[in-house]
Amino acid sequence: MSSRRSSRGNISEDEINELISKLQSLLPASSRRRGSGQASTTKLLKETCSYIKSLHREVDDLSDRLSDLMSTMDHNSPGAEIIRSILRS
Amino acid sequence: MLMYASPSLSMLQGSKQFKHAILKNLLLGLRKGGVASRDMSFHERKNAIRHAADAALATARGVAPCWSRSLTAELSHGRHLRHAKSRPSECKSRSKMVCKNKILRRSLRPRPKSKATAKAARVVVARTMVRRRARALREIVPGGRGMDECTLLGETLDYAVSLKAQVDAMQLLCYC
Repeated sequence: MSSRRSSRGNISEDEINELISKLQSLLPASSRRRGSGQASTTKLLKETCSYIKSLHREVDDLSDRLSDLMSTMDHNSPGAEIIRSILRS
Repeated sequence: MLMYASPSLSMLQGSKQFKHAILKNLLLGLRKGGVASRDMSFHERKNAIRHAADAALATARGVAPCWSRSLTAELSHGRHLRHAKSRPSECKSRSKMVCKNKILRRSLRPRPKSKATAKAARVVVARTMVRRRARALREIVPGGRGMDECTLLGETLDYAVSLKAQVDAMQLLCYC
């Protein structure tokens, strides 16, 4: 991360609001809420949690898929050829 | 392994270079992990892939963020951080949490004394709720337990963006 953030302790109110609004824009399909009251911060943190967890699940599913792909590398499908050539040089 | 020089967050978001760095590292790591061998069981292979993917992510991101350093440390200890599939116990504790939150809210509901005390009570509730959410975040962001709340926010942001790039990179590999 860029070094514009103070390393410890006192971060200004502005910086926190900036981070919060960045989180808000990051979350997919999050409805834009007006105001930065504490209540919406809570919801935002909850959504962020869900978002990160869903990304974890995606990585898990993709690992499943890749594992499948590689186990079928014995068959001469074109995709397998590509991966095999990359991985075995 | 390829290290992507510490960028600002806006550079990181949607960055092709970052994705490609992850992908390159992933391929190198998969090769090193002998994942192409035929002697592996499905789970051995999958774990090797996950391990390579996380290592690729952390290395590509570099040592600037705390989560990245924590992730690298966890990987070298052979421990896997993520519980990707939600277990039954998680669902139970979630409904407990909802109950607890409701009770908390109810107990701290401001009684009509004065405006000042009512407002103070609301602030306490809100702050407690935020702290609870922050606690949840701490569990899923690598190294989150050692962070103060302000650092946690920034790290969460960085981590989420990086995770997305990892997903994109893996999709490139899957669907090539």
